[in-house]
Amino acid sequence: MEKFKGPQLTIVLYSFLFIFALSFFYLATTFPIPTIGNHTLGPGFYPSLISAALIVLITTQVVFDLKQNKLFSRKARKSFPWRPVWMFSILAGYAVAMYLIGYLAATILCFALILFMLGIRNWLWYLAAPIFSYGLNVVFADIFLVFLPSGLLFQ
Amino acid sequence: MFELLLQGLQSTLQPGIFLLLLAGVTGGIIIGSLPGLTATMGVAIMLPFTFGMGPNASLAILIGVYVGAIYGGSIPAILLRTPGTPASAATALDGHQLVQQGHAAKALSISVVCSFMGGLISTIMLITLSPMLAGFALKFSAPEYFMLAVFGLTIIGSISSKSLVKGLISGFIGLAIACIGLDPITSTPRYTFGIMELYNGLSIIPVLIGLFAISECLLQSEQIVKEASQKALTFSHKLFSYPEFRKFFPSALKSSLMGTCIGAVPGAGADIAAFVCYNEARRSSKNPENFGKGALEGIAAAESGNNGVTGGALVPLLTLGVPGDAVAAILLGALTIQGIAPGPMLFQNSPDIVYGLFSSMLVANILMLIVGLAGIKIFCRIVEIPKALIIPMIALLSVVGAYSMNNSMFDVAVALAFGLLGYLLTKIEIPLSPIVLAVILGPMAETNLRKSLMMYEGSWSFLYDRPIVLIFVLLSALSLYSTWRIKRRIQSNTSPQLAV
Amino acid sequence: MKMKFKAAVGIALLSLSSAFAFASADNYPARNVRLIVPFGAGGGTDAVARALAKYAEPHLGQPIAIMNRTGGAGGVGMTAGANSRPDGYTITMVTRELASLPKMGLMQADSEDFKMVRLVNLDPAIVTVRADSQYTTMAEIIDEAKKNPGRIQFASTAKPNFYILAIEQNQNVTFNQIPFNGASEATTAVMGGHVAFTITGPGEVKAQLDSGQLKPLAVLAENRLSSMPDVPTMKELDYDVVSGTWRGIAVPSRTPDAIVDKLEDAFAKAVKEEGFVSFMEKGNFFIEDKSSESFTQFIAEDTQSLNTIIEKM
Repeated sequence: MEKFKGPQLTIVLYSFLFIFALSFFYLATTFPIPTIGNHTLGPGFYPSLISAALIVLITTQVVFDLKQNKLFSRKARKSFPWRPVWMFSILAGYAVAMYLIGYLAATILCFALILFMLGIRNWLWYLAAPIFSYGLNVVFADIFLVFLPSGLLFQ
Repeated sequence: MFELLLQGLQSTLQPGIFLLLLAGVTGGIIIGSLPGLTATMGVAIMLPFTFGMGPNASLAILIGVYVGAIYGGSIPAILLRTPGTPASAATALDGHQLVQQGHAAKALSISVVCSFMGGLISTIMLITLSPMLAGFALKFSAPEYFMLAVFGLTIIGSISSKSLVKGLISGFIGLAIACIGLDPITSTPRYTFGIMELYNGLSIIPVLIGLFAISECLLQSEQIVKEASQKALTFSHKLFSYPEFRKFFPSALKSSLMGTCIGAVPGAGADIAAFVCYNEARRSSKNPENFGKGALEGIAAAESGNNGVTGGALVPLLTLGVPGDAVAAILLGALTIQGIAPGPMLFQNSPDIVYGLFSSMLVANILMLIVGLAGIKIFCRIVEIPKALIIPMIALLSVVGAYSMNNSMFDVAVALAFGLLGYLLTKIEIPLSPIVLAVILGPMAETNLRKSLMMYEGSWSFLYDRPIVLIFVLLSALSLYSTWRIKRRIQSNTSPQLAV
Repeated sequence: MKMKFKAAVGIALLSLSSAFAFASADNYPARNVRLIVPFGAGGGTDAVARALAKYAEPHLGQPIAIMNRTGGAGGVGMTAGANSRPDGYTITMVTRELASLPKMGLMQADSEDFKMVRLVNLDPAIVTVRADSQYTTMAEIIDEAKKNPGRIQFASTAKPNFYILAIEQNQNVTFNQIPFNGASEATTAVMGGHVAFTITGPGEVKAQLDSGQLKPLAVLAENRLSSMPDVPTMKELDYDVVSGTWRGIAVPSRTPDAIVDKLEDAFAKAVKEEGFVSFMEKGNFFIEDKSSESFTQFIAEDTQSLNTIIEKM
């Protein structure tokens, strides 16, 4: 596997969090204070306090990490984790599939996909897919009467 | 009173009602243990079935589900670090650590016994002290709620992290997320971007499922499952021992009492009680640094606290006609549908229903203990399911669970987003539990602070004007001091290089 | 390996063939009907919806399943209902929020997106204070408010609270409105002595009124309530304020009339069922049965009066 030498995940994430906190703060200052009633603390007070604190905290943490050279070290990193990306896509696809082709088909399909992605090649394991899906269907839809989508295409 | 109680017990122990209680408790445990189905949902699901039954029968099954579900949430919390209900979010902190150390059965047994204690003590208090508890509950208004939330929040930085700053970052992310939605006081949309589903804020269940279950699946999927039959964990089957019981008993007792009081206060439910009791247990413990690493008292406090709410929430329902938490609100609806108006008149008009309720609570808790203990072996088997199967099962169950809460695909999207967030945060070693604590307690703090100021017309005197508030202020200060103490202890044990 | 995939998908597709159910107006209803309730289980709207569904089922000929879809003070559920397929298999319980939220920009759908089936419930509002409160009549509260604007504390069950706004605008007074999340919290605050009074539906305070913990001062209705004949209406006290909340059934606007008629018929019969009447009485809910035309008109009038209040806000 290729060694992934991109910028450290840490600094990328901290930057995102920082930008998030900054925009949060900015938006908080735009909340209008309504005219009726007495409002000592408007809607923007609390969020701006929190985002300000968050900005301070993130900066502190980044400073700490910089001091310990944790951010830009040249240690070779592990390879880029593709599998979680696959897993996430399967789950996102599951949600969409559940909506389109209905709960049962989507569950069987995605269960099998996940097993495949995890590296299972022994076909016996794939039997778990329909068993699990039907089982869950019975528990949720028949016993607990929770509505499960039956698929847009089939209505 | 005892004669009435005996009468009530007689009616409860009839085969019909007894079976309903058993079914309710078992069903409740299952519902609670499925992430995405909460105790409130479980009781709501059962509600329509009760229309054809008499009041005693319908209360029996609803109470059974309630008691069972609040316990049931602890099972995945302990075994899989994913709380089955928000009430068990605090149990996951120490419970899962114990499982990692190989003591799954011990953790589960402590959980069930303490849940039983919480339920039993709160039921006894319900039967004997209702008027007093009701009077206490009525004294609570916005300032008291505010300080209760603040007290619960004081551990936000330090619940599960070596680094205080990282813990605080997580906590404040949680507080920020909790601001999303319509402002509770002015209804100004905050961070909603016109999406109507966000008007009530992010629902806690998809957030919980995403942060814990989905992110865990993402993390687990990083490694290829070499051996298909590779198990997640191995563990011993030993339950807790008597000396251990003596160690966590005081914590459980105190938390049961606290849980009952918190349940009696309308608007504060099992999730809040669990964290507040956990916090108090940590604050008053001789070894607070063990909390978060598998402290038995941690599990004990959280579980007896959250089950303590079950009896407490019925106090205002029966004495004031006002529900103590969301489930009690459904019980109120159930009684209304039966044509009975809960409130103090209920004692006079239908004492048989009231005492039937009391005895149902007692029997339900006993049944929960029995079913829970008997089930430990089965529950532990869950951990033995091969990793290859558990990962897809949890992943897909999470998506369904997130959907089923409100029949909403939007909630699924929220869960997925938080799954991603949880995965990324874990990668940079930012803990996830503070987010949950913040989402549960943050809104209560902000809303009640502003309500207090409105009630006091801008003056901050409510902070020192009211006795209960002062007690909470004191407790919060002590809690912060305790946090500082813990950090000092950790620092002195490890090299000075580590973060603050 | 690929064979197993195909097999799995094949099984799934086969199993779904049973989901096909062709629906048309002739054989309506051919399967379950879904009733979207825009509020949580156990609440007033939910209780009324469940009782109504139970008594309408035999007249409709198919089970009616309740689906709670909460959020946005009712907006999420009602918008979902308005946007659902107009085939009569998804009906919605609509409440007064349908008339108030759209104008405030808090809901995307509005009454135009629905075709009204039937109004079933109209609950007036009632003013209550603690039993030992210093206020024994409505006049005292309003006079006090005139002398001390914005000082008397009112527990509001929702934000904005149209009951108190109607009074404020009508009498030109202001109260210190403390927002609470629902009637239970508001009544608790009154009972605890933290606020002076509140206005809720009669069903929400029945238990407290019966036990004497709360005292009623006035009802915001056209006529005195038969269950509380001693309580004066606001009109009698020279305050021309009539307000309340209502609940009814609606379907998406493009639903064929034939289906709407069948639904209307079923619910009209359900409302007259003895079981339903006694349920509503016991819960202190008030039945108000309006046909689909008069329901539509009623909503138009209510929307107008709410608009006046909202514009002045």
